Amino acid sequence: LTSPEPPRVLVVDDDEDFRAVLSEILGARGYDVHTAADGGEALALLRAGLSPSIILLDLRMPGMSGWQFRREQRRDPELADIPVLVLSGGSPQHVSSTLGSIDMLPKPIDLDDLTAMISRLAKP
Amino acid sequence: MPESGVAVSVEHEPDSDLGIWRRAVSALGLWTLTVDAAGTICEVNDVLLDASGLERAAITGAKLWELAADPHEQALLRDRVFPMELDEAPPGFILRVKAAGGESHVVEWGVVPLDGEPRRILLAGVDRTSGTPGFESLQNDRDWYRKLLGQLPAVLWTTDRDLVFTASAGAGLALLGVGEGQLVGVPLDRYFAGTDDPNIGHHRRALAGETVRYDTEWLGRAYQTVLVPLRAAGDDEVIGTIGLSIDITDRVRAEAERDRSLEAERDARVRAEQALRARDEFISIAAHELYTPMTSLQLALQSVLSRDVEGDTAKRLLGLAEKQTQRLLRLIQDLLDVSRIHTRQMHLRPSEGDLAELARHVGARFSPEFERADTSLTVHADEAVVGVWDIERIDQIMTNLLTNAMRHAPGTTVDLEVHAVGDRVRITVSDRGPGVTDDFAARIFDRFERAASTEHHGGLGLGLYIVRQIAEAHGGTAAVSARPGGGAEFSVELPIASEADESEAP
Repeated sequence: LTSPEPPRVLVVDDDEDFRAVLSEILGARGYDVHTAADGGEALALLRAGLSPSIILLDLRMPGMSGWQFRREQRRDPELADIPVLVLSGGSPQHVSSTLGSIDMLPKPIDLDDLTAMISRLAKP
Repeated sequence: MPESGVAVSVEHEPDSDLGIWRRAVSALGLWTLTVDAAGTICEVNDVLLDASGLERAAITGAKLWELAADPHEQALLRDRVFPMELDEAPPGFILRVKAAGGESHVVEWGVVPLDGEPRRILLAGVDRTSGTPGFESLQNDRDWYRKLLGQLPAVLWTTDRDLVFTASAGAGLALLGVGEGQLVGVPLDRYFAGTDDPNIGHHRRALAGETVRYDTEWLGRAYQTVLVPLRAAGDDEVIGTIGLSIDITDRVRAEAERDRSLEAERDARVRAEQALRARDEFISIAAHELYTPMTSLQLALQSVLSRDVEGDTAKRLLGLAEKQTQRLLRLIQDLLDVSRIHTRQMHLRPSEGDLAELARHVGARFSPEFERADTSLTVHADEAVVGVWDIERIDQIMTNLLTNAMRHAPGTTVDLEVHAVGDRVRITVSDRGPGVTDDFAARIFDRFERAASTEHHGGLGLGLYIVRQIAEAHGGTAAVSARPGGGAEFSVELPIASEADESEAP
């Protein structure tokens, strides 16, 4: 067995500072962190071949929202299996059925909860 | 003149009979009087004087009809009853005779023409006031109707078969500008001439035997009317109509007023519900906006504290954390501003300053942020515009307008312009973004409003509201319009006040 590739994480959030913080934190934990400012950017990265172990997704974003991204993702057989963890300020009730079966961490987020959730959900 | 006052013409009676007559008349309680051909009262007897309480001197020489208690009966007696054919046996009549103290007696009179010159007429009356309860109550009934009609805002009328008014009464007539009885003789179609009033049609239906109930408006007042066919006694033939209209104008107006206030209440409730929904949405957005920097702050601090990171990474994370506290402070400031503005506590701290200089200063402060957003910012403020204003608040206006432009039109060209227009200064921020729809332009400066509310532009949607409030506190205005060539143009106009103006201000 060769040493495993670092697990790849795609952070989709319109908040520049939040993307920067997650990049620093998850990078320090050995993740290969990529970021996108909205659903459209994320889809472009995924269709260009970026194959993350998990997507951390915000819902309220200008441009393509998290809900719209999720609809596109589930419709695309190449992308549908990538695990998604929703990080959003909204309450879980706001997560509509269009998102499909999905895990969610409401903001504010505890670091230990976040890393535990990523380890559990990330595709090996 | 016989001392007894018995109204018997002595010349025509045998002396021997006179006493018997006099006693008989007295015993019967007959009221007697004689009048001449002109109706002037010549003699009256004691029975009449005793019963009525009237003075002999007040009666003799007066006209017969002046005895009538009722002006209508006076007229009736003068014009219709008294000009009688004396050679035939004239019919008797009933007259309510006035009495002392405002009272009256109902008296049934028999008429006896006397021979001889000058011509005299003997009237002998029986006081029926207490003796005939049926008659009395009939009279009283008539009084009651009169009194009722005199009090009610109603009009009672009758017409004949040709729809000519034959009677009209009621206090409601006064509102129509006519007196009691004045309509009598007037054909209905002449009264309603020149209008398409439905009353005539309703009267025709009543003549056809129908009882008609309807509401109408006439001369600006509303009436509820019932119209009944008038039939001859013991006969089915319709000889006319009788109608009663009740004036319901006040009730109709009260109902309209009540409807209006109900509607106003409903509107107020809808507005209150809208305001509540806007506030709920605002609270939800505000929470989201506070959570975002709070989450970054929490994660950065937890990461540094857990010694996951060190060195430059830790430094960068602490820098990001510090930046989040600034963002939180700004958001809290916005919230407080709105709450203060809402409770009308915006206190301006006016001082003299140059807004062109301020614009260049704000532009310089924003340029790194614009550069990062790949947006170009040009400040056009070459001529000094000096006046008295709250410089910090005007800074806030420019800051909010530029922040708004950067959020909604990133990657385009933004212009900040300050110049004097007459005695006002105009601050304009124009962008080349998607622009503003007319519908949204109407409420863009309202509280909690922002374009595409489900989207997330990193603000509370309060910036433009605060801009307008500051502008208005300075006696100015805020507006948005389409920029020629695409995009939005936000402008604020403020009066250029001098120090002198300020000191004059109360």
